[in-house]
Amino acid sequence: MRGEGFRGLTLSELLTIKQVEKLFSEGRRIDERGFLEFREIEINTNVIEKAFGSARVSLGDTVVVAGVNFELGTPFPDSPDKGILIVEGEVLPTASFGAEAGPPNEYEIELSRVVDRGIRESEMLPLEEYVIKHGEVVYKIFLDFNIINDDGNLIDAANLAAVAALATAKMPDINYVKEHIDELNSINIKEVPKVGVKIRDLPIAVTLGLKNNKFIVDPTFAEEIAVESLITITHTNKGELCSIQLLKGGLTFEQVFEAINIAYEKNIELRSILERNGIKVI
Amino acid sequence: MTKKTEEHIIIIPGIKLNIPKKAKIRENIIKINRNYISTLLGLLHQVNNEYTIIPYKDIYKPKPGDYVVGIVVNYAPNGWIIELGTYTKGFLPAQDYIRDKKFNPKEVELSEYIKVGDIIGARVVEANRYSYFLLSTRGEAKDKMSKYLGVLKNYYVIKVSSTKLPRIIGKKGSMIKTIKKKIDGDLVIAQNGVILYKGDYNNYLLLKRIINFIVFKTFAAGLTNAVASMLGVELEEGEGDE
Amino acid sequence: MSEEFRRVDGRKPDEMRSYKIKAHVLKNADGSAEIRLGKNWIVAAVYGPKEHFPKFEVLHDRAILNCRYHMTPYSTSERKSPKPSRREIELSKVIRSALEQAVILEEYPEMSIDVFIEVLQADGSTRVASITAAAVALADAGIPMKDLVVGCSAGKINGRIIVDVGEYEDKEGEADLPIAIMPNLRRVVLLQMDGKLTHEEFKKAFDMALKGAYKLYEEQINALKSVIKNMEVLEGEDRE
Repeated sequence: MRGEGFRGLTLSELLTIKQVEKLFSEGRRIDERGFLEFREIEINTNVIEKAFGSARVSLGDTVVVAGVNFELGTPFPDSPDKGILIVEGEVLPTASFGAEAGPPNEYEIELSRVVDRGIRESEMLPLEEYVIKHGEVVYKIFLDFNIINDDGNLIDAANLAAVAALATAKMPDINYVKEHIDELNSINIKEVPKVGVKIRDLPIAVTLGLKNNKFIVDPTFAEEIAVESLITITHTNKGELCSIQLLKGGLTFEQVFEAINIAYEKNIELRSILERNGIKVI
Repeated sequence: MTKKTEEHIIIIPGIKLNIPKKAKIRENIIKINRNYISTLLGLLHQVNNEYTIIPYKDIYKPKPGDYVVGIVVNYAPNGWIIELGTYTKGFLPAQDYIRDKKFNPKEVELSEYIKVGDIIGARVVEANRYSYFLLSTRGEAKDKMSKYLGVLKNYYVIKVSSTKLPRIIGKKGSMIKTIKKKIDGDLVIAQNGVILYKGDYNNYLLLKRIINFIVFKTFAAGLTNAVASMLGVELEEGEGDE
Repeated sequence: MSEEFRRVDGRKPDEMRSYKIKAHVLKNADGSAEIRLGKNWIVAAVYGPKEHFPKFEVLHDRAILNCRYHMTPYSTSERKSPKPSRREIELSKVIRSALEQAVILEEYPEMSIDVFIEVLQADGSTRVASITAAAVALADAGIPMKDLVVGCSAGKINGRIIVDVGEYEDKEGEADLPIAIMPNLRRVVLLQMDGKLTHEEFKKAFDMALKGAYKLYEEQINALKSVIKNMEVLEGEDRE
C-alpha cells in the first residue's frame, strides 16, 4: 500500500496519520464521521462520450473514472461459449505525491483483481449471451478504471465506478452483428447500433478497517495506514457473499463474522445510492 | 531438598509453554496474552527456576567485545568490508589496522596491507544494527586473543552455526578442555562460528570429526563423556556431564 | 439412511486429501519445507535475514519480508508461462501479508528475509498449501515468530460445502474460500473468497476450513519435531 513504512509521503500526509491515530485513541475519526459512516458519494455516468459506458465516482476526496469498451475477440479455449471480460485498474501518477507511473505494482493488481472478482463472481454480465460464433467470435469487454485522486478506500470507489459504468453502458447490438456475420472484418464495432447492457446483478464492495478492535467503514488514506487490519467484503443483489479479500493485518474468528454483518448493512445503503442514480437490477 | 532438574522438551514457535508464572525467563521466550511462548524452534531448557529456549538454529548477533573471524570481501575508501556469515558485514577502519600516526588513507593502497580474500580475526567494537559492525584488530594489553587479531594465515578452518558453539565449548569450557587434552596446537574459536586450527593434519581431521559429532548431537545428553571416550581421554572429577 | 455424498475423488464433504509436510529439505536454504497435499507438491525456501538492496528501500524499524509465489511451467496441465502472472503477484502479496503477521520483523531492522515458494505440481488450494509450507520453512530458518501460520480451503460444489478444494472442484465449483490462521493466537491472516455463498453457507465453510487448518497444523508440528529428532543424521551446518 502507498505509504508503507512511512515512505513516499508528504509531511502533511504524515501529520494526518498521526492525527488519525490520536483521534482513534479517543474514539473519534478525523473528519468527524461516525465509525460506520461513508463519506459523501457522488456518481456521474456517461462522462466519456467515446466509450460505450463510463462513470466518475467520488468518495470523499477519492476520485475514480471507469470506462467500458466492446471489441470482437476470440473466446478463451476453456470457455468457447462465453464472452470475455477484462477488468484492469491503475492508480495514475496524478493520484498522490507517492504514486508512480509505470507497470502496476502488487497493490494495484490486488485492487483490480478484487473489483474483477466481485463483477465476475456475481455474474453481473450475461457473458454467455455475448457469443457471436461459438468458439470463434465473442464480445470482449474491457472495463478499465483509473484512480485520479487517492484518499483511500480505492476498492469501494472503483467498484462503484465499475458497476455504474457497466450498468449504464450501451453495447453494440449483438443481433445486428450476428446478421452481418459474413462481413465481420468490415464491421466497425463503434458504428453498430447500440442497445442497453442487461445486468443480472450488482456486486457491492464494502471495505472495513479495524482499529483497537473497532470496525470503521470507508477508510481515508491516512486511516488505511493507521488501522491494523483491512478487509473487503462484496455482496450480491440477493445478499450473498461473492468476494472477500483480507487486504491487511488479521482478524479474530469472531471479527470475521462481525465484519460480514457490517458489510451487509452498508451494502444495502450503497445499493440505494446507486438506485437513486438510476442504477439497479431490473 | 529439591533436586536440580534439567529437562529437554521440543518446542514449536507459538505454542504456549508450560512454565510457572514466577519463573525467570531468558532467551527466545516472549509473553503474548499472558502466555509464555517460544519464538524459535528448539528445546526448552530448564535449570531450577530458569527457562531458556536452546534454538535449533538462530542467527549470530554480534555484541561489542565478541571475537569474530571473517573474510575480507571489499575495500571501502577508508577500510575493509568483512563478511562474517551473518545478516550484515563488518567494517575494519584503515586507521585501526595501520598504526602509523602519519597515515593518510588517500595516499595508501589498502591492498598492500590487507587483501580481499584474507582471513581476519577481530573484536567487535560496535554492533549498531543500523550499519556494518565496527571491528578492531587492536587488542587491549590483557586481551588473550591479541595473538589472533589481524590477518590470520595457514589455519585449517571449520565453520559451524554459532548456535552450536555453547556445546562445542561446553559448560565452563569443559568440552573444549577435553578436546585440548588430546589435540594440541593452536585452536581458536570465534563467536560467529568459525573454528581455526593450526597443527598436525591428523589432529585437524580428528578435530573435524569431533566437531561434526557435537554439531549433529547438539541436543544429546552426556556429550562431553561421549567425546572424551572418542578421544580416549580420561576425565577428572567434575569435568564430565552432570 | 440415504447414501452419503461423495466427491469426484471419492472424498466425503469434510474429508481432507492425504497430506505430508517435511521440513529442512534443501541444503542451501537457511530454512526450507515441502508440502504434498493431494497432488500438490510445493517447496518453500527461506533466505536471510540478510542485507537489503537497494539500500534506499530499507526499513529502519523492521525487516522487509519478500515473498514470491510462483508456479513452474509444468505444474499445470496447460503449460504456464514462467513469467509471473497477475494472479501470482496478487497471491505473493496476500501470502506475504499473512506471514508478516507471525514473523517478528522488528528483530532485524534494515534486513530482508526472502521467502520463495515454488509450485512444482498444482492440484487446487495451492495458496493455502504454500503458506503452510512457508511457515514451516521460516521456523526451520530460525526466524523468530509469534506463531506458525497454517492454511486450508473450503468451497461449494453442487450446492454442498466441502473442505480442501481440489483442482476439479476449484474449476467447477460455485465458491472457493481459502483461509490461513495463526493457530494459537486464533487470528485469521489470509481470507479470500470468490463465488457465491449465503451467510449461512459461509459460516459452514469457514468452520470446515478452520478444522482442516488445525489438522494441517498438527502435521506442521510433526514436521518440525522430526527436524530435531533427526538431527543426528542431518547435515548440521549452515551458512557456509
